[in-house]
Amino acid sequence: MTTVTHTLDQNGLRRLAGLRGQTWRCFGGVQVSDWLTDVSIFIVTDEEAVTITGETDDLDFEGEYDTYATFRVEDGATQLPIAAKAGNLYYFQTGQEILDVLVLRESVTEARDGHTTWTYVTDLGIVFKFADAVIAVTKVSHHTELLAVLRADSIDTLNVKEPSNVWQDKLGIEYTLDRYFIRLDTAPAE
Amino acid sequence: MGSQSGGGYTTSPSSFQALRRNVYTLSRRYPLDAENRFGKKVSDRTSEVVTATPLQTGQEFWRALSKGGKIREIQTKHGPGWIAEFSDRSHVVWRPMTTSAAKTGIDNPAVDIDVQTSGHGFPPRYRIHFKKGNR
Repeated sequence: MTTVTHTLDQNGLRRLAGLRGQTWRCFGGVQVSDWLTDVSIFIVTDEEAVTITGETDDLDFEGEYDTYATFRVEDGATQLPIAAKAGNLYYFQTGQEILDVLVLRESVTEARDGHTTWTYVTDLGIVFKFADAVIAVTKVSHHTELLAVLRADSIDTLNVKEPSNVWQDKLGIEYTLDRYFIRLDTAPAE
Repeated sequence: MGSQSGGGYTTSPSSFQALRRNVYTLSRRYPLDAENRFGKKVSDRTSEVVTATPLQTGQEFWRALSKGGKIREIQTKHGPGWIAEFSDRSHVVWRPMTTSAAKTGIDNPAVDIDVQTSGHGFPPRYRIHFKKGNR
């Protein structure tokens, strides 16, 4: 059995965890669509900024190479002036404290004739929690770079669409999907 | 095709209908199979179009399938690529070079079609590889 863990790296987790307790200003991107998607989204607080970019890696755990999406989190928002000029800054929850930062993680397990063949563990979304709302940056697909920003009143009502529709049960092949949130209330150790 | 409410935006002109129209328009030149996929099915996630000119044929698919979508450049591990997104978040990705091409040095560009709206008879997501050979 193969287990592939394709998740945020330690630097990314540390950057995200560091946003907890800061005051949210806005998010944006150079080419944010009307339905809040882009391939790179920056988050701006009173103290700093981070940019979340959708990337893909080539993996071969399913019998052939394919691209699998991942998040890259970097310091700063170099595209902010361009996005501002294009009117692509969004001020939802501005002035509110980021109470929590969470990662929505998913594991997909394939079983053939009852025997587990592989498990794929990946992050589906990065969630910022406020007193009365959440904002999440999520993958649109497990296989492409596109990201979507979602808003909800709470984590319970956050509707992250299942991008795993490529893994559908067939005769003798079953897929088990499991999702869970991980709180980044402390910066992960080195 | 008209506009529709929901989500605070208008779905025209880059709605899923545009992608569907693009697929059917391209299918006049490159027929779809019984599963509404282009090319020859290699696996659930991959089809293959054999052509004397993989890059040019891939570009032809990209141009045809991306019409009406919001186009963005992406940086892949093997160089630039492009995404055309439609308002239901269905998208088409043009990857002029893929892993197999990077490993073998042989042109093997790909177009990914990722359909987010179900119930239209299209596979949810598959990749079309453009492979050099006689069509």
